[in-house]
Amino acid sequence: MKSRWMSAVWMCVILAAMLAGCGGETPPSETPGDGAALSPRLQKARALLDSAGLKTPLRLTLYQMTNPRPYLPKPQETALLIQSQLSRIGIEVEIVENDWPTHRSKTSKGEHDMCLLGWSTDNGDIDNFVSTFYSKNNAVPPSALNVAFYVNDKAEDLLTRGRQTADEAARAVIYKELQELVAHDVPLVPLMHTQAYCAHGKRVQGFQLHPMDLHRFHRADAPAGDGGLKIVSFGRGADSISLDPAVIDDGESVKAVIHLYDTLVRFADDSMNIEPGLAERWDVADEGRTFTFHLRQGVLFHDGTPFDAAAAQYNLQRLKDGLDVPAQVKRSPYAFLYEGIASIETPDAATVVVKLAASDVTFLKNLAMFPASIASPAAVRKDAENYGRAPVGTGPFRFKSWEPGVKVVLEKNPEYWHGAPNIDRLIFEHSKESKVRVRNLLKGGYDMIDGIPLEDLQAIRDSTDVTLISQPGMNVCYLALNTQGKNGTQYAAVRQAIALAIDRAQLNQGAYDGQGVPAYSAVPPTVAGYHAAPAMLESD
Amino acid sequence: MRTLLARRLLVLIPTVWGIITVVFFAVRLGGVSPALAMFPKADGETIARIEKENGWDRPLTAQYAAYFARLAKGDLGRTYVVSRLPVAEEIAARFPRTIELALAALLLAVPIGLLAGIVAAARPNSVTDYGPMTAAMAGVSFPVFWLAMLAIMLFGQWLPFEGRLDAQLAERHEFSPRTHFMLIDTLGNPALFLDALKHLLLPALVLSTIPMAVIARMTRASLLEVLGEDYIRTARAKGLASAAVLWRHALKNAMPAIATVIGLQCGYLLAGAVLTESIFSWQGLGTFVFECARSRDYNGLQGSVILLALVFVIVNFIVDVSYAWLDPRIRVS
Repeated sequence: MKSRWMSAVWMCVILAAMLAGCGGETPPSETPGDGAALSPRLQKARALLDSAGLKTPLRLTLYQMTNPRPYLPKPQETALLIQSQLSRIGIEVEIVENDWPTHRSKTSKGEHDMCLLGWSTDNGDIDNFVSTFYSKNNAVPPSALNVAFYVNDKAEDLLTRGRQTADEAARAVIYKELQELVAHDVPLVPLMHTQAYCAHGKRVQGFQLHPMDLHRFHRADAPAGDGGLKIVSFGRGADSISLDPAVIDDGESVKAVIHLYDTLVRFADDSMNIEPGLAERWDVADEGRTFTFHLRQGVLFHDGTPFDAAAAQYNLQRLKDGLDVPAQVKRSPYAFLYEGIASIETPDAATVVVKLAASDVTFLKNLAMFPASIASPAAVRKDAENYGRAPVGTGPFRFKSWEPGVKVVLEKNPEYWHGAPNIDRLIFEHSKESKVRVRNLLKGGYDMIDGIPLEDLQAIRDSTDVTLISQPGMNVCYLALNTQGKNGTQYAAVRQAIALAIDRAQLNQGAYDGQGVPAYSAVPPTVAGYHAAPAMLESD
Repeated sequence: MRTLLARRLLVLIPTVWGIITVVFFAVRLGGVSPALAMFPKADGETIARIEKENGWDRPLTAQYAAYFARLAKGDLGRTYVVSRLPVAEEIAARFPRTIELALAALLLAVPIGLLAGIVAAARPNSVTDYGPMTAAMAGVSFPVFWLAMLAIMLFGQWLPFEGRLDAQLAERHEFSPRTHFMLIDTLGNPALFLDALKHLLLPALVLSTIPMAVIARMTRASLLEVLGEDYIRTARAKGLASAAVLWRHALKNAMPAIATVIGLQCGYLLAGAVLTESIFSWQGLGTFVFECARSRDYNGLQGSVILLALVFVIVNFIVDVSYAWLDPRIRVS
């Protein structure tokens, strides 16, 4: 009996020590609860809500995912804060939690009144944000990305014109009008942009994080270790799924894919500018509907077969139509970006002519994205089912090995047309737990990591052995309001009231560790065409 | 002994058949098409193609027969979400990792647990009892992920705590695993072998705490029970040394109960430890099952659940046989 007592006492001591170490901080609240005077902003929100003439208190659901996303590191905290902020103006929020796939499938069917969601750009163009959020083409269940189900003819017209206008200044005018329109209609309340972080040890030199959060190692260097090899290892949160560019949409596959392949045109090393890739130059004709690409000569795939017009044509066709893909994949998840392609012709072995159904100024940017990577047609045709495990491109690195679930190893392509990389081997390791990953970086187990938890940023900043790289992420987190809902969000006045009641500064402190950038447009400030509408700015 | 062995082996056949049948129907109880469960957003054409590829469009009885036919060929289908690899290939790479970690943990847990239990039972209610038993209490109570983080903080300076081999070292030696038992694969190369051993140490230590504690407590309890019996008093009255009484007379009779517990723990360890594997980036079977369940990956889940059930059946078989070896009364009856 005595032994039980002793162990019980021990347990209590240890438990108390554990509890003492994890006391949470509650974010400061701007206004006290009921009874206290409301700020003018909240009074206005209250008046708007009253003007809708609905039965109070208004009861709305808020759908929230349990898994953190890059733009939403703490979903639970965010949802709870929004719940308390909306309660100040008399809205009772019922939070509905689901894991990420369920959240996506339920919200894209429109089950919610409000839901938390976000977006990281594919190509850095403003159209990639606004078309996703506001186009009626994206409001079709069951795969809607426009989860506000916002349908507005004026917005649709602006979106189409924006896509077809090449002049930057004229485009900015169009998108300003659009952002003013949605700031008034409020299909969604932009909440926060986040920073993109990665960190590397002293061994890595000359690394530059691309504005689109791409980790490119072509120009980076590292000292040679024992045996004379220059090896860089990267710790990331999951293994790649496939290295077939026409199949994937997960970030960990993309990390390796961008080193294995080239695209016809590419993003510059340090900007979103488009520069020549496998195409040396190109002509645009026919009011932006015909692109003639003049291809680089003498480039070989890693398997020794030559890159030519037929290879380019095959890959674009494959991307668009889902040619020679594994049985379970119909076509690339990104195929919709290339649907505007009307024809792909090859007048000779060095020329590809792509005709679009309608002019689209985002086309070149889409061609620079990883889904448009050029793979060896011979290798794909040989075994389409397993091609993703034996990829062949023209890129700066060749595929070397893949230990399933553990690591992908790439090796230098000494014949790379753009100059051989300095690094001999590039290893992408699977490191499941972000906190452990940070420790391993600090210890020197990895040369670079990403997916750093907010609470570990300081430890990395404090360390003299590692360098933290941070830059504005091209993303946004938002609160979508179902414009076709039945419980109140179908009224513009209610949506405007909600927008006014959201306190971004409090969200930033409480759910982003103060590291977020408050969002006043669904478009990040780093994207050309960004405009913060006064109607949105008013809320803070 | 031989007939007993044969009898037990024969019982295995219907057991295994039963398990496969139960698993087969259990994963189909959801009522939703497996393809739709995996890809809720896919269009009808894709769903139809996936169903056709796996035969999920046919009646259940036909699927059932086909599943056995494929199973006989070692074909478990392909994972769709987790990695797109054949399930058999995933298991062939991951199960050895789990076995290696489980065996290492057992190698620590069994001798230390036994010893702690014996020491505690030798002088009940003394310091040598309280000490080990308090530690054992802590061992079963502490959450594994907490212990793992603690171990990394305490020993992470000197020992590797992620993966099974230093990736850069492996590249320098142009090493790639063949059997996926890292200690076997690296046998010819002392530098790699030592590194693999170092990588094994921390996860095995953390994973061993619960089985070690359970074994220690069970050993103490069953030893104390045996030590209270008449024949022990007789042995002591005859003037036998207390060590001989404890080790030769008492321990042997306490062993069947201890063997059961060891067997059970062995089964749990082989089923893969999701938390330990996850923190130490071990990528064994546990992580795979977890990821399959989370993404509703039918083939992956079905294949690995059957394998895990088989593991338990085999471990139970070994425990059964060890009873007979430890206790002559079972052999005779």
